[in-house]
Amino acid sequence: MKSQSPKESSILKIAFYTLLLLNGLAFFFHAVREPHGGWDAWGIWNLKARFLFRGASHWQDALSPLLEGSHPDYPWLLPATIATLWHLLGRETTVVPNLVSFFFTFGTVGLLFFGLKKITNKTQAYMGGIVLMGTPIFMIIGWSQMADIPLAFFFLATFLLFCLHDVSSAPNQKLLILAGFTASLGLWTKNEGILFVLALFIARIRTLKEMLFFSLGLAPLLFLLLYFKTFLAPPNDILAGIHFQTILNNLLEPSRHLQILGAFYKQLGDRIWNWFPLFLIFYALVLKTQIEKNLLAYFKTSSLAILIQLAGYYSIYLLTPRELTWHLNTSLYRLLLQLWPSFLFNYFLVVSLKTPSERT
Amino acid sequence: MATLSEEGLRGLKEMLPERGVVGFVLDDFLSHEEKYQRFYLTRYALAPTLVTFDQTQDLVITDFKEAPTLKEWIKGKPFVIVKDFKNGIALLRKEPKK
Repeated sequence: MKSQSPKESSILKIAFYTLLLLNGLAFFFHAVREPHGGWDAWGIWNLKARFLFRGASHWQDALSPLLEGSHPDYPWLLPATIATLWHLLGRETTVVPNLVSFFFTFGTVGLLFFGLKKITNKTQAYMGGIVLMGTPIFMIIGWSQMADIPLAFFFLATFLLFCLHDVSSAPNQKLLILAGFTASLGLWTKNEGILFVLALFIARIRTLKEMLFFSLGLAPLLFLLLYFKTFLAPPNDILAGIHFQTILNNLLEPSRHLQILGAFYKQLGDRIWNWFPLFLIFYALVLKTQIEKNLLAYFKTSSLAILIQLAGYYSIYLLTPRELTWHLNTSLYRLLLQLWPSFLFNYFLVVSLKTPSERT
Repeated sequence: MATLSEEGLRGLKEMLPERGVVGFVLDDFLSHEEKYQRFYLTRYALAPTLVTFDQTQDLVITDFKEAPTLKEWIKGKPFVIVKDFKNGIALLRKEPKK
């Protein structure tokens, strides 16, 4: 395969910065038009931030079962961050949740770009950034102030730290401690972060000693979450609604499996992803996909962890006590979005116009 | 959307106690989505007051844009109007038992 010329690289550079500018402007205009964000922002995250800030000593009202539907059992990283910033400012303003959202949205782009640049080269970094910023649903969920983007940020940061650890000739255990910490921030952002930590442990079970270092970084927020879930939060509405008979019925219901698989498949070609998943599969098949030797361990870990996470999402839909069509329509795209930047990171680590020797 | 709701409920918010639970009633015949959207927007605007679909609370907020009208709804119910904001929103208080 012919390697790319500097001219092609500069085209990618222009495309990357144009998208960055346009998306930045779109974010700003949306923040002006809808300063409170989308449904989940005012229905869950900013609502809790208000309970923390306005409620002062009665902040525990945010955990009332009367807030059913606003998920009082969800972890608190995002509301607590917003409420803390309001507290520091001394007043409540919609600028804060918008800035937090801006940080995580464009921070994810930056993380993907600099991660790929560090491990492969600028061309791959531009490609990754262009695809991520060119994914409409990524920007929409970003400016809607939903917690799926911060979660995607922490997932990507964790994978990047594992990757840096694995490609290094002299393994640095501090990177694993940091990976544990970023994973724990995901855990404290949304319940899906719990599944992510489990997926990483299963994917990395053969290197148990390394996972001890990972656990060191994980422990503080894991204990906080355990305390929160055990002593403060009401039961999770999905888990509370699952009974043995429901599990049995759902597992043995072929139409349910088909509906979930169909919904996953439909996402591949949905325009909210700009048809990128289909293009990426096509290019991976056409281009010479080679995994460099030093990336092999990381690639196995991350791919397996992503697959386990997807299997976990599948199981949630299989067992959900909620109406399945509604549940799939309102959440599947967001769950997939949580993994999208990490998937792109892995993809552009291995799929390139250049062979591994040409890349370095 | 949330901004409009915030503005519409500003006067009401000032009349609510700092902490507590208030009931919420809105139009019949709304779609599921519209019903919950208006409910969650009210909950968001009035936080940290807990808003719930429960007409047995001492304070109840009504949000009738079309039907029934406030007068129709309140007939025969143990509530008095504390304030009608004239934009479909009103705050009601349960009458003390005689």
